[in-house]
Amino acid sequence: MKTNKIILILFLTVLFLLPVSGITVEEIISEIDRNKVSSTQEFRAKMFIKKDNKVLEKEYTGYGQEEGEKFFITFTNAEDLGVKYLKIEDELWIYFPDADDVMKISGHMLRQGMMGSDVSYEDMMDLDKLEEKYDSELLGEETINDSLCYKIKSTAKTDDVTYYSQELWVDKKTFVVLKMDLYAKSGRLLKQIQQFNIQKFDNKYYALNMTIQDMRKKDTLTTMEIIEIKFDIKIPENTFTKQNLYR
Amino acid sequence: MFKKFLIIFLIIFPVISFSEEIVEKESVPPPRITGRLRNDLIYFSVNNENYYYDLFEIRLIVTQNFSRGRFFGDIRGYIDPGDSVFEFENFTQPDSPRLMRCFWKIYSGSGDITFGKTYITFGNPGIFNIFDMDKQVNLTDLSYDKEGIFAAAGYIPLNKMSGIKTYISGDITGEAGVSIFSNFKSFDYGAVINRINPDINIVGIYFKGDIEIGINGSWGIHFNDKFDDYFHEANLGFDYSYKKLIFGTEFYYNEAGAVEPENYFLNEIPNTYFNARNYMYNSIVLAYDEFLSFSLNNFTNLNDNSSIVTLGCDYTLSNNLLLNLQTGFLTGTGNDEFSRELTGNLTALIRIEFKF
Repeated sequence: MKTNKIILILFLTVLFLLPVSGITVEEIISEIDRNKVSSTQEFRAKMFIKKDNKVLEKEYTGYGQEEGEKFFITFTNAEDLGVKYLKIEDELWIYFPDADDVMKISGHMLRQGMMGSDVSYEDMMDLDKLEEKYDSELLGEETINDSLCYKIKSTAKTDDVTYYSQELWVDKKTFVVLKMDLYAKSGRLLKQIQQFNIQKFDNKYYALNMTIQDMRKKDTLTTMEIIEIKFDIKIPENTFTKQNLYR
Repeated sequence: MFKKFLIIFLIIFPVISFSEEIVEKESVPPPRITGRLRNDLIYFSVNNENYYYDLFEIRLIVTQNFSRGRFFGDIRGYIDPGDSVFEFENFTQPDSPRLMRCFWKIYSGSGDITFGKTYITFGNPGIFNIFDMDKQVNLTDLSYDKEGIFAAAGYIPLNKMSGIKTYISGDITGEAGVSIFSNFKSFDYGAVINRINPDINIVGIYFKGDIEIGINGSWGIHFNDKFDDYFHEANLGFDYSYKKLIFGTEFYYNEAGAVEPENYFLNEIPNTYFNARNYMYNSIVLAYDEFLSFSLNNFTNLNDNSSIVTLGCDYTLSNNLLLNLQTGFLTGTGNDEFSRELTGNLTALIRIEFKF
């Protein structure tokens, strides 16, 4: 009887220590990355900035390369027509068509919202690489928008990150992050990101709709909607250059 | 003569240049016409006299992209500016129609060439850019658009972030210049040589980057052709943001500027800001939310401590519809540069703008 109890306790302990569904958190993150892996992207997208019952609409086209290491965006809506952004590694430049000039965006300004949205330049630049700057653990499984998800908690290894910790809900079938809560070191929820409209491109899954809510602001929501996206395409020469900003 | 040549060239060159594209029946997108309707209601007070000024502006922008270049035109028209203001000498009615810019840009593997009326930009954009060729400051509208100059300009890339910008022009604002620029770590930097007019030249360097806070600076030396008359001009700026607040400070030094108020207007110094030697510009922006922001700007003449202080508010009413309120007042008295007696003691601007 006593032996059975010991076996049961050992079994439960081992069960508890085993990763959920037999998959490790490293494998889940690797699958998330596999979805993101593409050498290049060309896209056309819309951004809706909502505050109370008012909505601003912006539209842009662009190219991306090396998982966000480089991107070039041109705004095409009337209000921001011709405004361009160039990102190379962790630096960002903006072109102002009314001045026909380019300005480097200071590092501290990267915390500000892009075009007045809930998306900061830092969010856009994806500076805080999950696998490099965070320790992750698998917390269990939860259902988000009728999809069964792995729930992961990631905590920063160092202080030089925008968000000290993150909670991610990763779709078990597609390995797309359906929901992400981003926290400050104090534990305050700073932003909530949700992804919808998951589409399959070859052997990868990609979310075409995203909402970003800055929890420090009242009644605001930014929605990003990808209208068209192509992967692994040939990007025109000189796209990621200062010369292209002036064109 | 040069201007006429440029205008003819502006029209003929693109026809030759793009005729090949037309023959090849390349799918060229149609020209895009966009623009802006803007109404400014300006109030100012000088010596207890009140002036009102209403200006309605129509802006039309035409852009046409080709695979090897683009055309850009920006023309403004002004409707029925008020009359009373013209009795006040500091305000002049804008020409109407007014061609702000009109140029062709041709792309090639070795660089891009621009022909026509265009902006020539050297140095760091912003307040007190010592390499700016038109240093007038509109105190009721710090972001007002300037007219381009007729020029042929080139951009030669050296690598993805480095290059050479150059131009030649017959315009009164600038004759010829060249700038070489690059990027190292988190800093942009460059050097400029510019011949603005006969006997007015400037050579200098500039940088912009980050050391926890944003920092930018530039230094230049103005000299005549014989190099027997010269003076230094420099600026140094810092910027930082904390939560919803964005702070900026710029110091400006012009060696040729006067130190005593009675000397401010004795000699007009070409290609410099204002008339005194030392200035400081401060700005604080509160981006309250996506639709509403407030700003506080201040120019101070550090020689006589007179200031111009402006308070602004930007509100996005809806898509493409913007409201801007701004008021400014001067703190100086007597012969101070920013003197209430000389320039007026209060201005206010109500601007409504629709982009299409």
